[in-house]
Amino acid sequence: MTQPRLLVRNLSCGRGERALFHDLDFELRGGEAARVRGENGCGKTTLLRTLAGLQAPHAGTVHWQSATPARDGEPVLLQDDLCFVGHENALNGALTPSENLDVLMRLAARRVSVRAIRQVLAELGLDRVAERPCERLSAGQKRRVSLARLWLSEAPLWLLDEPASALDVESRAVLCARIDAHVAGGGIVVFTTHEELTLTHTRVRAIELTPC
Amino acid sequence: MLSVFWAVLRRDLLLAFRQRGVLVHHLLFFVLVVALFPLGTGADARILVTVSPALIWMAVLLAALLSLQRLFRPDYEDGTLEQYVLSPEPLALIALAKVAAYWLASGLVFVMASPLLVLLLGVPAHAVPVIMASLLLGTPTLGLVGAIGTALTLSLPRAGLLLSLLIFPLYVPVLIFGAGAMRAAIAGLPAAGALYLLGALLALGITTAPIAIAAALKISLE
Amino acid sequence: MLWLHRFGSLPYFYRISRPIALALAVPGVLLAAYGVYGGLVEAPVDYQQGDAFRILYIHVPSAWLSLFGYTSMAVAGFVALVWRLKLAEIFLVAAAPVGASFTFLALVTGSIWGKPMWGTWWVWDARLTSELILLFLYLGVIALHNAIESPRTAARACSLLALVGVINVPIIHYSVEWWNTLHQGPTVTRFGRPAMEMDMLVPLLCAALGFTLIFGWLTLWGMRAQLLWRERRSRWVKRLFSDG
Repeated sequence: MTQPRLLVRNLSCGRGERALFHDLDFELRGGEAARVRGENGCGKTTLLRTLAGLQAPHAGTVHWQSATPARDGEPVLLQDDLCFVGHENALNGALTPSENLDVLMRLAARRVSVRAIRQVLAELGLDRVAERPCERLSAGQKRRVSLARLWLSEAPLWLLDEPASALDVESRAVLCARIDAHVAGGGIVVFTTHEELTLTHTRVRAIELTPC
Repeated sequence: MLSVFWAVLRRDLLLAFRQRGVLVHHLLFFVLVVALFPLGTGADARILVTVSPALIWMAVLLAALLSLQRLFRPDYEDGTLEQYVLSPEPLALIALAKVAAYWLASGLVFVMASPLLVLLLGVPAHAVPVIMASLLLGTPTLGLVGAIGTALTLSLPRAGLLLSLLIFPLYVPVLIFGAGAMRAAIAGLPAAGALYLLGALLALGITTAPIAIAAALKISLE
Repeated sequence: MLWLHRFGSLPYFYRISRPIALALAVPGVLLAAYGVYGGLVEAPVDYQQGDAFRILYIHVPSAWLSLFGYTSMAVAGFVALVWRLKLAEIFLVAAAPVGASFTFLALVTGSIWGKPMWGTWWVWDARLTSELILLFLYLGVIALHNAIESPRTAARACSLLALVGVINVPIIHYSVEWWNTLHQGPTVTRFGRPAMEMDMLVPLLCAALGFTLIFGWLTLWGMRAQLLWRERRSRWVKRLFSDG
């Protein structure tokens, strides 16, 4: 198996027609983590969405591993290898955490048993709410349910948009430990965060976005 | 690959069941449109029978328009739609599962309710099977075509009127063949031709619409 | 391919579109004027329809362009979706109002023609009804484009809608025809089409060709405006206007 590798060249992105940043270059290999930095509205979410292939860059390319590179200005598709935790939790309020996670894992083409989901929820201290509709959970609990995907997925590349929002100190430490473990296992993590995430075993590189 | 289809179908049916109040509203809307109509035309039985095909189908179109607006909206707002698009499974299949669940939860209910309504309008009982068959074949097509429209207008918070402009012209063939089959059945004429054509439209819709829905969803997310 | 790439370059397109538009406009207006004059004044009176048939010299080219316009939009939409070619997106957006106008013109002239023929302004004739629905299809594209803020997303959404629409145009037309023959009965007599006299046919062909060139001219002009608006933040547009 080849070592995972994310290569970004001359990437220019924007929201609609408005350009947000120009000519971004960086390379991440398995076992590396990077934090996207920049002021509000400078395109951190846009960068993560572009890396995920949800939107097309204005110019430039995102290469993933040795797969055929996308043509200039086209979105990449990394699907199988990606776990994307977006700004929103991707949880339906009328479904319970375990039902939501079951569907999310099936969408990720991962067969995960109900018991495995329960176990992860218990590890995250959510066993008491596992059968309660998500709309009755607190913001922090919902975020933890959404992050439970990181314990269930085997994707090498994680893109996390504000993963620690609404999390308390202990949950944040649990999240950091998980990221550490993933990177130590040869994975790649790209994230944005407002809260300080102290990763004890991982050296976090910074991707600076300068507005244009 | 099919496992994702069943997973999404089951999820949406479960959601429909948990939020069954919404279903009741759609059904009530459908019944009310039909029930109010005689108050406008007068209770002349001949007129009611003559207009009943148009009336039933217009009520179905309007109910479809109302209910379709919620087809992808919750997923769009809570971020689930991004996970659909990022899924290694084909997005068209996921879209087809969503439409199938939508139809089972709303279209099928209209089909079930239709005999009662057409009998209220004074339609002869021998026409009821054909009427149900025409709705059974026509309403899924409405769902498939309408889903393209809602997927395209997803990024617009209040797209109701725009949606009607986008999808009603595309509903013309279903309206014509659906109401045509009904009219033929009421007149005691053979309606098989119209039903076959409705079936052909449905086959075309099932094979092509999911691809268009998938493309529209991707465009709306960009 | 190199040529295509060069043509795809937006500043290049902006530069050459002006002479091309003029090259379409002049013969277009001349041909259309000759055709319409020939039809309205020169052509002999029809023994069945009297003078009323003369409006066909405007109606037929408009109806042709309403279909041609929508089809070309769908082709452009396909190109825009598959190859992400910006010019195709711009063409689609610019052609929509022009095509809609010709569709409207076809409807108006159709109903004017219908007044002496059928005795009323509007008859649910199969072709008129299809044309009306085609107008709604056009309006849908225009409305969708106006509603979505990001021009890129709007153009891509319109591309898809035009493609879906064009698949439906024949189905709609066929279904309307089916509906019409079933319930209207043969009240609308199709005039037997004897081979048209040459002195009637030539002006009609000229008018059709002229209208088509005018369609191209107006669409190109719309594309130029659309292009400037979408590229208003780019260097080449800024330079264009700082010079002048």
